[in-house]
Amino acid sequence: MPQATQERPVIRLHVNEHVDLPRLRDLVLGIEEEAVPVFVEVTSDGDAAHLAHQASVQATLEIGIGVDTQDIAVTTSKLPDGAPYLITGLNLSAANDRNIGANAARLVKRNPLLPIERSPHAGAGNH
Amino acid sequence: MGMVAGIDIGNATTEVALAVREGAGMRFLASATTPTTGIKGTKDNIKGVFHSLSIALDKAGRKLEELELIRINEAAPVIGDVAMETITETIITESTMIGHNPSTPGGVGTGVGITIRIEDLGAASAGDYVVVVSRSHDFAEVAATINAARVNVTAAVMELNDGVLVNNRLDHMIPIVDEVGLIDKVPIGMKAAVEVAETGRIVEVLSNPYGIATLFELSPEETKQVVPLARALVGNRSAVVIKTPAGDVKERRIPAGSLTFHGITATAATEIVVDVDSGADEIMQAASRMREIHDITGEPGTNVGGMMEKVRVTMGQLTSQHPRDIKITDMIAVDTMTPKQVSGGLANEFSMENAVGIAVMVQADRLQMQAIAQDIAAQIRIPVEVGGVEADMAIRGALTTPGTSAPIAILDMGAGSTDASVMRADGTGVSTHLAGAGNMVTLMIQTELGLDAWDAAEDVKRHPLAKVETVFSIRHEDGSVQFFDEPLPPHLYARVVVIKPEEGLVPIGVDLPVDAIRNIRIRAKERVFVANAVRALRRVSPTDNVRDIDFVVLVGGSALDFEIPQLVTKALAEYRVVAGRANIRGTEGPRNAVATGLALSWGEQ
Repeated sequence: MPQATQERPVIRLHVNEHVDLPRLRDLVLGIEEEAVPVFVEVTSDGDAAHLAHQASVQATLEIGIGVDTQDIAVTTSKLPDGAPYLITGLNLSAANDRNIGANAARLVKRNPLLPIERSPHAGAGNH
Repeated sequence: MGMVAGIDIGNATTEVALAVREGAGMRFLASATTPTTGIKGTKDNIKGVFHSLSIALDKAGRKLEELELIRINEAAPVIGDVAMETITETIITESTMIGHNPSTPGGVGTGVGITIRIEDLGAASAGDYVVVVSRSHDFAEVAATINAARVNVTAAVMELNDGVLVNNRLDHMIPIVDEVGLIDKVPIGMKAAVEVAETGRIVEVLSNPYGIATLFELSPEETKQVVPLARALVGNRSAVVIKTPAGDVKERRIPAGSLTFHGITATAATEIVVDVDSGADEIMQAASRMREIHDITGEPGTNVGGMMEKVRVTMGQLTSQHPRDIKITDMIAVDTMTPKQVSGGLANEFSMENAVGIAVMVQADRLQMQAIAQDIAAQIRIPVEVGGVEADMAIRGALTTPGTSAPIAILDMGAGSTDASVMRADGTGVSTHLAGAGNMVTLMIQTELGLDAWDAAEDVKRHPLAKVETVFSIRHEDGSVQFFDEPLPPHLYARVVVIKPEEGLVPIGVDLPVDAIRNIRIRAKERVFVANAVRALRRVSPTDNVRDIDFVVLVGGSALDFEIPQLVTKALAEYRVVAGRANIRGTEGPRNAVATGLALSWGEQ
């Protein structure tokens, strides 16, 4: 459900409740360095791809990030559920977490993306 | 039977035209084009000849035995080569400038102070400081240290991409330049200025010599010396300037040397010497004063001397002659700019340097066409003859383009050279070969965009550009938008791409707007092909005047280009000359001119 229009422009990060929040540190820093506001919400069950889709549909900037205990997914509201635009492993390295965070912001800014690792878990990885 | 095959072995392709005698004329049955095997004029070509011939015979539903004669071209014995040399160089001594563009610098404004390592900030005496931060410091710690400092911190220079993160945690905003790779080389204890412009703007103080003079209290003499530095910072969003006692940024002019044209002018045999520093226009003027060029030499021990020597060695190897015996009979020179890494830079700084590109043409030995003809004849027991001069055959073929008549000129624009021939109303003709064609355009594109790979420059030359704008759409260089059903791959997102017919979208790895790249591409084509079209037509015109030729048709590989024919058409329209891409026999486009001419001229025998 799209939020009311008076809400300020944000991307949304939906994180599965089983993920320890400190694990999101570098992901969020990657977004901050690109100077794009992010709204974080802890939700009940769902995998990274589904959470990302849900987040993108609700985000005023139409970009969503989903995090489960294994993966980080980034997608736009125009892509179907279950087929995220980017997916990588959670906490593979601090740099990788920062890069995918930066990429979520760069999708908004329409800047070229940084390289990210292929997810060791998901079948349909990018890069 | 009366069936003939005209076969043209070119640098890039081998083309066949298959025809039968019918009444007084010839009726064409089929054509074929295949890649040339081996270097043009060698026996390696035969494989490609058979391949191309069998395709044409299959298309026509005929057999090899039905052929009465094969006619192959007498190839023009010319080879071209290209070279590029930068003639200016920017050198930083003692690291005084960091003029790169991190994508996300921190803060905004200009700060001046003495450079100090962040480790030493606690022990510093009162004053203004610019902190230097290596990668071993976390952004939160950096922000806390600056907030706690008893001295005034005016700016920061950082190794990691943490500028925004640090700035967001400071009590007072300061300009921060980050992603400085060689942070250890930043001189410590020196006066420095850091400037970060607002998003979408460029530095205004440090790109202005008087701005630098104001911050560093420079004398008029010292202000003169910072001009190359200021120039190198123009267009950046962020910049750092550090003043060290002996530090300096210099623009060095590399002595380019001189070229000597040996030949005959309108009045006498002579030599004309021209300094390469004076630019491409002067060089081309010297060339145009020569009616006939016998050789062009470069001053030994200079840049251009080395360039010309390299060309002679390459050409000597290709034609199995001694470099000493290679005669350069034409040259085209162009001034250009190229991005070069600044030597002594700290963060991969680039500076636009002047360069000069040249294309030369060398007369080669007669190629081994007769030997090739004999080999083919021996293998298939069908007579093979070498049929006439390539240029004459090309004109005969070109005249099958609907809407043409003599006097007609053809421009054959290939990869290595531009060849022009004219046929007058009385049927006599003359032809010329000029340096500079497709390869020169590729070299200019490669140089101006600073591309590492030749193939990438070829892609930019051959294919239109687009920018990937969203996950599902691209904007073509003409402004039109195209949508895709599937999301475009992430490595293409927001990048400039070329649109290739088979591979699709290919990123070109250059961080420039589409328009800037397009302008470089078009300008390169104009400066080589349009300039050469005019030069060539002037040479083959009986009166040295382009206007005396009514029809010009473009043939050869470059005539297939998506925009070169239009550029030439537009330029020659100013001379009231009808010029356009050939359409051989009304069906073949700019291909198959020589092969068609070879077949036709048999019919007229």
